[in-house]
Amino acid sequence: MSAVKEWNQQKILAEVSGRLLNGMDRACSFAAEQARAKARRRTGKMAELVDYEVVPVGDDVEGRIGSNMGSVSGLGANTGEAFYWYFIELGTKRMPAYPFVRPAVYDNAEEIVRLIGEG
Amino acid sequence: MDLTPAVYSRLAGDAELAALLATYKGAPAVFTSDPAPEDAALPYIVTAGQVGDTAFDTKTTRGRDVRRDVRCYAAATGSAVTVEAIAERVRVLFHRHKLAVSGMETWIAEASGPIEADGDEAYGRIVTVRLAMIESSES
Repeated sequence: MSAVKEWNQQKILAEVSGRLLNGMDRACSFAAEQARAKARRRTGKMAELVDYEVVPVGDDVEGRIGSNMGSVSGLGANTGEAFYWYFIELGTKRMPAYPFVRPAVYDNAEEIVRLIGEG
Repeated sequence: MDLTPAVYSRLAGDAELAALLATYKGAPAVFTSDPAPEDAALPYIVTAGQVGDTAFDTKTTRGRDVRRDVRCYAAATGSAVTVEAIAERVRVLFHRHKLAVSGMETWIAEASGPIEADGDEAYGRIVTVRLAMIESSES
């Protein structure tokens, strides 16, 4: 029977954090690709603007998908092209909604969770 | 799956919500086409199409997990009180409410938001409704 001879908590935490960040990065990359595929293509610019970022927040890791113009903070973005993107996703009084970011996440939830778990 | 009539009935049939909305052709201003008709007066609600729609199956049952936006608009008058009241009421109407959808049985009903979607002409708030439903045995 083997026994634990050495317990290196810092090393374990670093390993877990690294795998979590890597998994989140892969999941966000996948979801961003799905969003690009779903983006309404008139000029193709909207699809090009889709990007993602992975941000450690306290003990958590957040993955954010949105526009790479201005903030990438998803639906909170409100500058430049991202401002326009927000209205395409959600619609306005005069403009129909063409959701492409949230469907990319909702419709691929199982695969996203799998990628995060794989690390 | 007749989700749109069920959502419409839930919204248009609520007296408290109706009192906050304009009327259109004699009915509360709730539209299931996007955008709303040009002659529609604010405040109103638009809900059309799904934001997400995936399978909600088990070994022995078939179902759908659907997400839908309910978009609330009111005139940009300098105060968002009206649009926020509408959106809060929408949230109450759908959160943990077993919506009666023909041929389906609701297992999960959640409402998230409202999130802000203000424009130049109108203030907007969006409530996203999630309904996980299984096909009922009668269907």
